[in-house]
Amino acid sequence: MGTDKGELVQGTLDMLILKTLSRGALHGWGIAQHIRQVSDEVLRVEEGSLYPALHRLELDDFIDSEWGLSENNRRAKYYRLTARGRKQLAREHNSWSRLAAAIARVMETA
Amino acid sequence: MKRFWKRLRRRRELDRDLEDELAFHLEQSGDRARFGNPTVLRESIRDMWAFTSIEVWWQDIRYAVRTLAQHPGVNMVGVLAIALGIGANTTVFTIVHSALSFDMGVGSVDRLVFISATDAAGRNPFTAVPVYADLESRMNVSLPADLTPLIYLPYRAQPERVMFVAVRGRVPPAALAAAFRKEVQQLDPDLAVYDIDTLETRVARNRLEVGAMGAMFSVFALVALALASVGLYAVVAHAVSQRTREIGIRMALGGTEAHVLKLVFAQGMGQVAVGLAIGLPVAFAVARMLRAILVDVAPGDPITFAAVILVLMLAGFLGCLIPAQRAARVDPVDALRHE
Repeated sequence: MGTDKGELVQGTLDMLILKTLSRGALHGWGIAQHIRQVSDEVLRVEEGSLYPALHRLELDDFIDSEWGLSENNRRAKYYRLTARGRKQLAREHNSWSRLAAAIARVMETA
Repeated sequence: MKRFWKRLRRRRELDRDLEDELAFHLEQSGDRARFGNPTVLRESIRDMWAFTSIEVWWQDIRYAVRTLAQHPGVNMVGVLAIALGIGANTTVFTIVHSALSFDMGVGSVDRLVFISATDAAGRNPFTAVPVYADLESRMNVSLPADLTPLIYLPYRAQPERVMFVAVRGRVPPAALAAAFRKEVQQLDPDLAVYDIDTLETRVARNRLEVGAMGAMFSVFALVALALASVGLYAVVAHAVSQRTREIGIRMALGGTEAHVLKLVFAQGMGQVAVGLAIGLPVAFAVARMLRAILVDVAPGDPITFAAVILVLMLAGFLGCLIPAQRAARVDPVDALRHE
């Protein structure tokens, strides 16, 4: 887990995907780009984990998919957050905030 | 449930969908190398959507059928052992069951009396009067056509040198016996009165014989069942242990103990299933024949059938489990050397 390579902390990918989709429907490539850009190129989502994660989330009914046209008029599969997914995002966001704060407290107490 | 339908709907177009989805991604990134191994990726996503367990089971079963076909000799022995085991056991148990629980359809069987009379040549000097023409329907039995006619006779019609007398009284049996003996000796002092018992004792003695026969047959049946089980276990276990090398290869290639067990069970239990498929109809046929011979036998007494099948299946199960587990725990290197 070298952070310099921009790899993700285990278990956060689902949350990042859900968060990205909360802004609106997007295809896999778009999701990866968005995460990369917003994180200032720190977080890079590997395709090998992105697509399995998307399909897993879809099977869990957290997201839905639909074929549509991309910005450059190509057929692309768009993922959209479901109501269940929105709740899941809230849950994960909440526990992540607690975890991050806790880690920060430990690290800052010399 | 919803997920089930989703999977079912999606599975059919999944492969093309996945292809298109990944193609789009590649096109956008314009960098094929970064994708790693697309086959592995596709495979792992496909697995997510698949009803993996059912499909793998189906594969295992097909593999099992192929292997069964490859070793017809050994497998025939196994199948026959099962078939015979079931046939013989259900038959014996059915006989015992019917002997022990024979019900003539009348309240107290021990009160029924048959008197038969034949002359020295074995012919019947009497003309039968069908007093009990409706015996068959009354007793709910079917009498064989060649049955020697039986009639109830008054003693005077044919005196016998030895006879049994049933006495009913209101006093205790011991007192009755004494009184009876006195009565007989008054008729003829030379007549010997012996073997006096209460009806209960006599019935119990009769029952004892049937019971002993039943117990004996039960023991035979149990022995037969035990033999069938041991034989079945041996055949299955032998077939599995012959696959030690193959199992070693599978383990070396990353198979888990669960994989191996599943594979072995698909074959072993397949064998058992074929044996059951052959043995059950045979057993049913025998039971039906018995019904024609023995009155009142329920054809294929279901509890007996179920019990015998369960025991044999358990034997087959253990025959798969024990050697397969042993094989799966063997160091792959040893297993590969094994031959």
